[in-house]
Amino acid sequence: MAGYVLRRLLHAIPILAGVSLLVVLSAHLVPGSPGESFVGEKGTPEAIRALNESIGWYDPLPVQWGRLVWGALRGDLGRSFATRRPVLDELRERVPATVELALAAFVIALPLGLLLGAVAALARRWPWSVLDHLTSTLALAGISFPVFWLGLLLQIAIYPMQQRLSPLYTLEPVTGLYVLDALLAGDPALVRDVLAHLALPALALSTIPLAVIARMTRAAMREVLGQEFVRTARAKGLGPVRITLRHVLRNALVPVVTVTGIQFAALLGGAVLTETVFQWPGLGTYIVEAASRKDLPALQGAVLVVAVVFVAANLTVDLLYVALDPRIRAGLEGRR
Amino acid sequence: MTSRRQTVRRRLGALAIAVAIGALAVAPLGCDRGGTAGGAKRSANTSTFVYARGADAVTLDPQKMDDGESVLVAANIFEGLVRYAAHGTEIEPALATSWEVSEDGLRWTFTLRKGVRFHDGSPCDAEAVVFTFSRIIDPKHPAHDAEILNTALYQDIERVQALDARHVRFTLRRALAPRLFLGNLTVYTAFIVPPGKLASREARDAFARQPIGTGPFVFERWETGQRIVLRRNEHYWGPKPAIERVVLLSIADNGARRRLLEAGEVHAIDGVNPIDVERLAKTPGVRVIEQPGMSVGYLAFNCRNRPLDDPRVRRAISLAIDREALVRLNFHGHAQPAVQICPPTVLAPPEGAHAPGRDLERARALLAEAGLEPGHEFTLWAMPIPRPYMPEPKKIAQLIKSQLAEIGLRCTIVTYPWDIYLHKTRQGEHDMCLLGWTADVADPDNFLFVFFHSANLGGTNFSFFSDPGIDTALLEAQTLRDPARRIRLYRRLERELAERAPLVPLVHPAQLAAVREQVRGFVLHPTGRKLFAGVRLTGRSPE
Repeated sequence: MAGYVLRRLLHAIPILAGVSLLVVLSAHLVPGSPGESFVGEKGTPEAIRALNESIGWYDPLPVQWGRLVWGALRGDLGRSFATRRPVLDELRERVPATVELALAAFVIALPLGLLLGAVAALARRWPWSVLDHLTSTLALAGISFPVFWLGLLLQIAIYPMQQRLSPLYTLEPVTGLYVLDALLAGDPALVRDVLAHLALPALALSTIPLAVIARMTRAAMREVLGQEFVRTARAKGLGPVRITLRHVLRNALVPVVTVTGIQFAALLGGAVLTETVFQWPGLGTYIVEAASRKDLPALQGAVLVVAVVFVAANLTVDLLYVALDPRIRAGLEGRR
Repeated sequence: MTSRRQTVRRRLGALAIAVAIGALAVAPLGCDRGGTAGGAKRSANTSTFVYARGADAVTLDPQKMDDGESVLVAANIFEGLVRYAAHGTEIEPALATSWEVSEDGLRWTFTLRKGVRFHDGSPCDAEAVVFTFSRIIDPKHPAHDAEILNTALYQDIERVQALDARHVRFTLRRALAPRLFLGNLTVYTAFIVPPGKLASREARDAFARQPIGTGPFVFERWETGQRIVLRRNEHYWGPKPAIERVVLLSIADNGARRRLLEAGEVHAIDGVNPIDVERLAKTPGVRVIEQPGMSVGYLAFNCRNRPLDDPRVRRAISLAIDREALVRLNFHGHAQPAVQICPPTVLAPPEGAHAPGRDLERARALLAEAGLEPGHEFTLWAMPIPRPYMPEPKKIAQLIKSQLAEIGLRCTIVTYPWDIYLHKTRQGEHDMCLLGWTADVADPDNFLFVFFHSANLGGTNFSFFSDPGIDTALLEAQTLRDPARRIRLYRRLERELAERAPLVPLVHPAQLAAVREQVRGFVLHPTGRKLFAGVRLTGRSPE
């Protein structure tokens, strides 16, 4: 088991190296330079040159890549070009916002997705099959609605919510998760305000994972329901709840865990569209800002963090399989 | 049979649970919605002013900033030696109460206001002024960093010295027109900073996040990407602001900003699109504020490319463009058609002058004279993003394209991401490009020198125009100390540049903002500054 984890961690190294190399290369593939986009219409050639030199833009590419990797290994992602603050400090502000939003979206998506999927899987005969069609349609709609459109619609239909807090409230961040911080502050009005600001973007963001989870749960459960051990269990006289929860759902969970893990990792990487529509100060808006300013150190740092999150999420998902499915566990032990 | 019915009943139960959980998940929405609106309104009082703009500040170190959103904040925290008057562009005292200039115009002596202190209590004395300017003009100064960009405005300053605690002397390399020299001192780059806070690189980086000035508002907090909060300076030397706090929100989306104002969540918004003016003006409780600014949207020719190196071709194109139509269709009337390059707030056009009208006959004749075959094709570059001086560049490009088709010229519209657009136009890859400029200094020099002097090739001279005669005249105009003569020279330059047409000034857009009815004393200054010291809030709350 430890050997498996170690092997997987070793696999992550070439992936992260490749990502960092791509980040450095892609910045140089497009014409223009960070200094130029920083000064905009104003700017003299000398100013542009001096600014570019300050981040080593004219150094050979291997040197630039080496600097990025060496810095990252020492926990130093450099300074943002635009704000001159350490990128790590800026990410430390942004990541909790994204994590909070992703968690909130999953609090909606996971139970609802599992339930809808299970209901659809169980509702096989008329008239219950109507429910199946209904959930399938809903799931399709959930995947197809563009998040930015839904976000705008929610703001117009319900209330124009922007950022994480109303202008007149202040909150001293302790954990960076505003719901927790507001609870710690112990002001009910503040908690309500934070929840209200979280609810709309979380709802907008939850639709896609909700739909994906529901569809995957339905498909996986249908497959398991058709298997013989389910009939055996029924023949043994087990109650339907026990069969559904203990035998069907558990066996159906492996693919569901996979998609859930991937969806969650994607949300942790920054929900660019949702964050933009709601001006949510997370990783997604950070990447958009950095890219539009061509703020190279900020962009590199943020992309590296996203890559690490993805690798970690994939690893967690794989470890969850092992925990859920004895067959995989046996396979691993056999290999050892 | 029984077991089937049971299964069905159980399945129904599961459905009920599903519905219940679904309802729970959505439930907070309903109550929170009312709760927040009510909560915000409860706390909304007449002491906090909430202002929403399009982006966050980048840095709050005045010497290092170069973007409007940073300047907006800094102009309320910091002050310069002099400033433009509240409603116009006359220069008036700020941290300096008076000044004298030597006979030869090379030595300026400023008397500083007595007893002014920075927000941390340290004195704002001659030492601070010397420190601030040395930091800008001397690349070897310990507090100078590569990000101090705006040094060109101060390159004629040779030395700044403290005569005593309240007197500072500037020694210039050449005499400058008083209006230009003092105008440069009003710019954010020349805001006075406290020397004690900027000794090390770390201290300067911290200062950029936690600025300390002398102005009417004290910096309180900055939540990056979200808001900046300022509070009233209780020890301000001038009239104290009526409001206690200013909350500056950054809300990127124009529509979202407008909805927040309509819902009464914020008191004021800027960056109002011309197309939204009518709707906002009709919204109960909302007032639109319009004010001429100091910007120009233009079409630059690449004077190095054939056949645009021929002034007759450039003139013909200028004559074919219908500026009134641009104002009507793209700015919905919220702009002035350009009579000349400098906006009227900076250089009053000659008596009775009006924007050049269309003259297609003459345009065709000029093209024939230049020997240009009909059907000649040009590239017409349009910015990919709205700029303060041009909200819809691509639509303007299409309009110009259709207008030029009437004199038999064809255009291909070219666009690139913003930074690449600037890179390629600075390299001269365009035939014609749309761009614009918002001045920092209310002086014609800040337009004509910036656009046409050879020193700015590869920088701000997007026309690739270079003429020794014009260069000399532009430098001379910087030094003319007689205001009347200076204006005559600039008018002459405007006439000559209209004749040779290296670029076509199209429009001078109005500044637009919208406020809730209860907001009083909010002024859009011609320089684009937004000053909150005079703002008052009447009544109880928005709505």
